[in-house]
Amino acid sequence: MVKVIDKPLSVNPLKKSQVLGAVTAFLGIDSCMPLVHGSQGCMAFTKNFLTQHFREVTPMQSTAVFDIATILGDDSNLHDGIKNVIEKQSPKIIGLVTTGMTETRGDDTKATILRFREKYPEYGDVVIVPVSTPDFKGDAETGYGEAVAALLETALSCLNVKKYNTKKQVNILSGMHSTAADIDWLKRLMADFNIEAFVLPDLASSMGGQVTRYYGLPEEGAPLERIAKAGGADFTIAIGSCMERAADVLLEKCSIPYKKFDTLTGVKATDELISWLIDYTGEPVPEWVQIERKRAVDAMLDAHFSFGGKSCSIAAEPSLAYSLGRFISEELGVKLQSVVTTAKEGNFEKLNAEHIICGDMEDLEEHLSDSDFVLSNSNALNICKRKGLPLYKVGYPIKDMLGHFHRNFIGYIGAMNLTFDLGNICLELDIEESHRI
Amino acid sequence: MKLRLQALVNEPDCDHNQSKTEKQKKEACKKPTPGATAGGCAFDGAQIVLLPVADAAHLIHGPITCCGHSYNNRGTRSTVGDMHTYGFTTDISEMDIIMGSESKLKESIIYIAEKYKPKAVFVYSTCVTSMIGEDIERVCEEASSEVKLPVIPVDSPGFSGSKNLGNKFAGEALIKHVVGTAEPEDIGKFPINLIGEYNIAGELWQVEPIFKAVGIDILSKMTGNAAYEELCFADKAKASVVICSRALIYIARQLKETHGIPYIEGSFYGMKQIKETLLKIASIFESKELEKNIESYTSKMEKETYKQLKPYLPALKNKKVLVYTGGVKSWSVLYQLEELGMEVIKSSTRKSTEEDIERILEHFDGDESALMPKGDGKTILNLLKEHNASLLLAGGRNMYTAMKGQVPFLDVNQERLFAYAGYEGMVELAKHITYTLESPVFEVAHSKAPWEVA
Ligand code: SF4
Repeated sequence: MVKVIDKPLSVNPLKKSQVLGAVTAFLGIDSCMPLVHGSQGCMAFTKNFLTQHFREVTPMQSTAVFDIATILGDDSNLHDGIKNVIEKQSPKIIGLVTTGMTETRGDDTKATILRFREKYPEYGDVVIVPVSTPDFKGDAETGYGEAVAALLETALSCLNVKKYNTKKQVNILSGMHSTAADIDWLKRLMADFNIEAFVLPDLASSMGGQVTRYYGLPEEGAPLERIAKAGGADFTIAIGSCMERAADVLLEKCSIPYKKFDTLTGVKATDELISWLIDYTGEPVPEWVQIERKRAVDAMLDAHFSFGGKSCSIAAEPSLAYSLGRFISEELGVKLQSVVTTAKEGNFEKLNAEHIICGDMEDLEEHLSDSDFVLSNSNALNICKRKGLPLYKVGYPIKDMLGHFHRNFIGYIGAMNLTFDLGNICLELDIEESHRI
Repeated sequence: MKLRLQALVNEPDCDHNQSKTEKQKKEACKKPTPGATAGGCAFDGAQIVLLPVADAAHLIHGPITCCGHSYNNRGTRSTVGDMHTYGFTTDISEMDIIMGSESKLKESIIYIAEKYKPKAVFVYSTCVTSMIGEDIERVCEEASSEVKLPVIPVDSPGFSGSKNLGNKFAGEALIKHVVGTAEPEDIGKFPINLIGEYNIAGELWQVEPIFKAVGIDILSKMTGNAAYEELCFADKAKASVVICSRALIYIARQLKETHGIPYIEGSFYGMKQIKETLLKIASIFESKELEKNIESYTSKMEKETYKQLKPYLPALKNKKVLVYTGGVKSWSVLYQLEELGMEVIKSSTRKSTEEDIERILEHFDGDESALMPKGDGKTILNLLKEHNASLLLAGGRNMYTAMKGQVPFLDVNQERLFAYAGYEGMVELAKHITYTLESPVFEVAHSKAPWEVA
């Protein structure tokens, strides 16, 4: 049962808004400008947040709704915003992300875009993707999922998609919790199973540090031409439940079947993916995959002495909380004390935890009881300091650590890394305990 | 709202505003350009000013973006409490918007008062709660009498304007609801208000010893490392010293008008500036004693500081710097760089007042080509290249612009980890510039990969 603590406010929120999720998704698209429709602060805070998180230039813009316009409600800010972005940055796509303010005002962005098209036919080839992401609803993951779904709805041209080579083509919809290392691992895996994979969004390429010059628009993410061809793929894999909506779009519009993997973290979860790949492709399992599995299991055997009798708590968005929680409790044997997340329902309800709470960091702090360590984002650091507990950083934002985005959390390699990292935390606790006089 | 905005934008006591033409005034409050903006909203600005008051809770009335993307992310440090690291928000939902959320707001204030026992609660209105007409002033009043704590409304919806306007909203809230509500025990001989120093990365602690050494008493710090209580008796000071001239001159002006407290503007970045600022204070108090103290202390400290700077100066000498930062920093840091022997090629004016610009020009002997208007990362990198500059000094958002351009960088934004004020800060600044200038990483970055070599 998911608990919601009865209180009138949120203290140290875990939740980030849909705006953050949608903007993040658009940053994984080549030549796409995320344009936040609202007052400038929403975009400025989001930009600051993501710049610190990725340690990269994070292009985004705002329609800068200002005073009077707020009350009157007209097209001008939106039209000017789109026009200025096109004239100054020449994007191929604009991801138009709404905010609580413009949603409360009742802006009909779809109709406004139509009027923009009439007024400025010269900009007809810029794809504009409207996403409704009020921040009084949902969370970052829903915003991220909605943005990818909207992008596909707008960009898919199912008519002229023919298969253009003999390889099997698979769309991979990567959830918000995927790191660059996760995405790279999937790409390599797919290639070695002789699949032509297309990752959407591709934050590994745009925010992973490989663009070595200044850019005004995200570069090297998933390109528009390729997104349009996603409609001609043979299959779709959705990673994390927040990507189901987008997979549905591909199914409904282009009849592409899909399989959703709620998690790819841990040996069992990775086994599921590999089994599916064996069945689907008939290809042999690459040797490096076999080796990775052996190493992961070896790591878990070595580490298990430290995991027994330990417990931990997790505060993260639903998909991430579920992935980590399942692996930690079912494969490492660490007890889940509390899982705090940002949705009231979802697969995380199945986790075997003492408390499952839809709430904030205050709820986490008050439900840690005998947890030995905590998994959460940088904002949990103050709590962990107060309680004297180690914090293993996951989720958004990670602002006080380098290289988080290049850590693997999925696949056998992810299982191995997590086992080592968490195992070391527990081992240190054991050593400390044993030497206590 | 409109009248209030106009009143706040027109600062009658700044020379540059009085002498403005209508057109200039309009420009001063000009709207942000849709699709080409940078910088935060008024709510952001209000928080910059008030959040350092760390024994008070800060409750944000709005949906999740305002607080969820911003809390626990300011560089201010405090020894009086830890409330500045907390994010409190009513996190309003669709239902709250339809039904109204004033009762939720009131319950939230009570919740915070009972559980966290702050000295006061600041309540911020944001875009959505302001649009749906929530009466936060009334709710604060009601809650205040119930919890027996000051509950201060800060009307700061983001759509009303930029961060700078938000700074003023915060000042307005302090003047209206806080200043003059308590009596200090002992005000000291030369009591001042220190306005506009937010203790970013602990800069206040580099400035405070200077005041102490010369015998000036800081009665009320606005607001770095301030206890709520000391804001309440700011009206008992005998002078105000405004550090960040643009943001909080409003408070100084109000204190002058209503309580007759004179004010000066100053800076603690750069040794010459420190001395000048201190002497200005001495002249307000018309104290020869103070003046003497200042003369002897500053000359001692200058000598001492130069000694400490010595190992760094050769590496910095004549190196060219582009300064791309807003407001007061756009001129104050120039003096510091000059004292380090560096050459500033241009300084940005995008968030500067006319007064800030005047001071930049003063530094450059009136050469207007030294002013750099708003520009994106590309413009910045091009300028660096064109002038063969060695260093970009800017806010954190441009840190990765510099890294993409593989140029040494010094971060002067709000979330930075290092403090550069006072004498100690000068040495710190010299060190950190040297570290980035001399880092071997740039050579690696500039080297070609084997497959790129012809
Ligand atoms: S612009 Fe408005 S809604 Fe956005 S962060 Fe600022 S106050 Fe909040």
